[in-house]
Amino acid sequence: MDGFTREAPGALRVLLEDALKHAFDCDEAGRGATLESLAGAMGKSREEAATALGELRARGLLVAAGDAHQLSEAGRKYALQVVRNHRIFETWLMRQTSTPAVDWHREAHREEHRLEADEVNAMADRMNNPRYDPHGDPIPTREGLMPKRPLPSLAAWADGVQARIGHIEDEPEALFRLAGALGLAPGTRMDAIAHLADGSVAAKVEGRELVIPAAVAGLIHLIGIDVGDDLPEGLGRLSDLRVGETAVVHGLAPSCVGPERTRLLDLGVVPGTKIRCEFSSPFGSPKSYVIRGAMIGLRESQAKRILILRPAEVSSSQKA
Amino acid sequence: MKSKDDVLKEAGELRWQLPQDLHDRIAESIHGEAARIAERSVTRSGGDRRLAWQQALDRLLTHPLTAFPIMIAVLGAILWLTIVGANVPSAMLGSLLVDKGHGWLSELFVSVGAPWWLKGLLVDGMYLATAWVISVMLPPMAIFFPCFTLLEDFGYLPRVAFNLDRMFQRVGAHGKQALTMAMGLGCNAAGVVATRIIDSPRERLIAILTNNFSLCNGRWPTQILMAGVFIGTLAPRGWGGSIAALSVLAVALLGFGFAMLSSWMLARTVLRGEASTFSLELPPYRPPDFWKTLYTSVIDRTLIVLWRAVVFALPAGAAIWLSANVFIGDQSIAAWFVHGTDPFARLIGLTGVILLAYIVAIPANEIVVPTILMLTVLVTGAAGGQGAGVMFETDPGNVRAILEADGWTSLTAMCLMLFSLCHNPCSTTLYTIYKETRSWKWTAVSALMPLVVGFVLCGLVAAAWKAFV
Amino acid sequence: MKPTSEHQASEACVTCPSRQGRLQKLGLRVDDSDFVIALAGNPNTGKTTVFNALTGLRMHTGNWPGKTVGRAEGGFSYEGKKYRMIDLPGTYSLLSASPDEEVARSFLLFGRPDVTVMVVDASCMERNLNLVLQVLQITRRAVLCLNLMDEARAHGLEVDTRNLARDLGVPVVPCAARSGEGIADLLKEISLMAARADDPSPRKLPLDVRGLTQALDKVEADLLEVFPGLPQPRWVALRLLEGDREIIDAVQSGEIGNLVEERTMPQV
Repeated sequence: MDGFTREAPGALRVLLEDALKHAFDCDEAGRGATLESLAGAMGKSREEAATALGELRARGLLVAAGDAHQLSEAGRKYALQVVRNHRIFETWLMRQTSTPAVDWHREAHREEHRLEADEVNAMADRMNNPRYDPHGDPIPTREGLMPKRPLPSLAAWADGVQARIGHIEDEPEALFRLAGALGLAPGTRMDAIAHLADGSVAAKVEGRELVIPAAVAGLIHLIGIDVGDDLPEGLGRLSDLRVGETAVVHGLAPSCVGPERTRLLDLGVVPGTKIRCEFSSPFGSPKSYVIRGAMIGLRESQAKRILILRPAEVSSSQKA
Repeated sequence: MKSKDDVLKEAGELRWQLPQDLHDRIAESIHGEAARIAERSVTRSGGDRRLAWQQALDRLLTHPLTAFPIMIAVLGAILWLTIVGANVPSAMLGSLLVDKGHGWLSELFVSVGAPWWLKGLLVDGMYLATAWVISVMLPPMAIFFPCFTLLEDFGYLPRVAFNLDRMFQRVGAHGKQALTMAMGLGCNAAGVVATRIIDSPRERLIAILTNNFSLCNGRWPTQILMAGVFIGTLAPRGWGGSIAALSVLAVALLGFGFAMLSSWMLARTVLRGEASTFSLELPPYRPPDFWKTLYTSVIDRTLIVLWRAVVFALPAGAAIWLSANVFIGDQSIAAWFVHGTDPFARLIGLTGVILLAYIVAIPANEIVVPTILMLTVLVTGAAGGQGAGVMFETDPGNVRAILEADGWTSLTAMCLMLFSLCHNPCSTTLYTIYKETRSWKWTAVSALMPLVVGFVLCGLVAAAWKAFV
Repeated sequence: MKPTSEHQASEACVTCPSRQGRLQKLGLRVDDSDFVIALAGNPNTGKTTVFNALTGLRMHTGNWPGKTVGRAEGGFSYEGKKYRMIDLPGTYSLLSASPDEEVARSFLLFGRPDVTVMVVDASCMERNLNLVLQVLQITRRAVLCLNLMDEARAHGLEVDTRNLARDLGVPVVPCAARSGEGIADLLKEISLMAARADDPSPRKLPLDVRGLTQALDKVEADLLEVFPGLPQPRWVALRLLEGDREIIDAVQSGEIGNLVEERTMPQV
């Protein structure tokens, strides 16, 4: 079993670890890392990229194969540790802090080089060792285990085939932010996918019609879902429910994450639960809802993330 | 034979084969089973509606037109009850502990031939400070906390948080902060402990740091005395009482404004982040058991807070006495400090005596007024006291005469009211903040933030006063 | 006082060195008590009122969730036996990683209370049973206290307690702790359960999640092979699959095996 020794903290550690991550991405994509690809991906000069490659080779972390480089066994272990640092820290930011989503990647990119394995393991333990990060990517375990699963992008997805978002790339940041604004998150259900002439993609996202710009579609990677798992017509959100109305919970939107999701599940907001809007606060938000016999106040922003079916729609979907 | 590691390895591998939303599915499964069991055992007569009176009350207490007037009326009633109701028992305790108790103890010490400094330190310093704190603090707390607890047990307070949540969300804080602030009106230390009901660490810290802007019990006497003695006399004949009361209410509302403003600033700067989740359970109204509530809230809240105040009042009493009786050169320590800081203090509308009083009163805000009076007598030599470093009580006319002898005006009174709102929390509260945050840094912030606000505010008011009056 | 053999066995259990050490690690003084009782329940179910009614303490906690901060302890005597009672934090569930839930979970598993009293709001059974089902996965030595019966009656609710007891496999006692109604029955059931040598038969929770049953079966079988006689192997397996570090560590260090030795003691 090849172990690796981590670089001492400092600028060189950051450079080498970033280069390792690039080599790892290349390995995952089934190609080798080259001087050009490295310089391009890291936004560094060819000289710096060459230094990085040389140092990594000297440490036995990279093996040259013609023009390209591949990770050695030790290099792969090292890269997985850095990837784990990044993904655990992102998950931590999402679940345990109130850091805005757009800052996750930047902070994790910085912290992945600072964090030591012990600290990351302690964080993971506090969160019951999550398997997936906020982007839907699997997190390497502390033993270095991670399943491979290359996912096709929305841009390359066949029209009409139902899917669920498996992963959203977080760079470039402006586009990632746009995807978030469109309500797209890992786990989000997409139906009636149709590619338009200009490269953008029309789709039904959790019951809403959306047109997704071509650039964003390229960032979104999908997982196919079982046929017959049809989304009922007339899906609404709890925030649409007026005082005195009753509906049935269809589920929590995938954008409802972290402690918020856990708390709602604990309160019994699960598919099939009857929910009634009881009264509103003077400002219109929060509103109080009767959920499984208890009255709970929820803010509008939370109610928007709970998918519901109205009574008429309930009966029609039951017939179907 | 398998080993422990084999078990863990297998479990670790199996994890990846389970659905990504495993936690959701487990929760759903258990809730489903719970519903099935409940259905088999529970029979319902008369539909699943809530009780009519509960529903009507909820509509009333959360209606846009009635919610806020009711909230203010309830709060006003509790404060009025606290202030008015505490007068008589406070006076009784004062005469028992301060007048009679002090006399007995003095005689006892004299009769056993104790040296003057021992009697001074123990009886005139420590005992008297503690006696004062008990007689001033105990009655209002024994009224305020049970009232508060009754509302809590009845189920009204969660509705208050529900009504105010939107405002707190706007400034980046949590709706439950409303409850901790209301609690702070009784005692800031209790308010800080109450922030435990806020889950998000960021929002909880905001609630802790801003709790001091809730005018606590210990500061109401200062407000009421200053408003009555100085502000009320500015009003036309017959309006004095109302103006005085309104000026105290204005200071309390100003505190609410500062709390919101500082929450907003903290949430935009050092405590940046997104508003956390809010799932507030609104329990059914439950008629509280009056006597049990009275008993438990006196035991649970009042006595604990009082005990802590007493623990801090003992050394404070000693400090007051020593500062007035230890001489450096020809002046006592107190006189040195007062004369040294007076020019700066006058600049921001206060006096050197007030600054010293606030240092001495770090253990308990209740002793601010007696300390000011005692030190003023000491420095100006005005008549009416019992001697250097001895706290005493006196009537409003006398108070005004003593203070005016030290050059007090309405401006001084106004600035003292503002400074009483905006200064560092008492040591009990600071200690509680440290215990809750486990951070010296945040404890320091909670002390310095209001102090800076207080100095700036008083400075501005003094400058405006001098420019226009 | 003539303790039966069952009593002796249980007492031996409380005072046996390994258990005492662990309870002390959990911050509990057990030297002078015969039985350890845990009190679990959702927030807002009158758990503290039940605690006060049993122990005679006058604690006050507020009428909103998350208010019982820290853990309250008290004691009482019943028919010559001393009971030590621990009020666990009120939680809606035991599945997440929140500190409150961790405290409750690890006390129920590693503290091995002789009896766990589950306080339930009778007017809000559906949601409360969610927690009850989870508690019953960790310990079967439980009594269900159906509190706030007065409120439930005012809401026109009737609970078939015998049916419920059969469904859950544990005794059910209707109470209204505020007025003291049912507290005597509750004490009796607690003492009967505490004196019981064997565990009541478990209630298997159907976890209707694709692939989970098979995974649980496998891990459970593994666990039983390594730690024969392990109580609640299915719960331990579930926690392993959920990635609970405390359980992973307990398996790694073999500490989880100590639970076995305890449960076999009463049969000696």
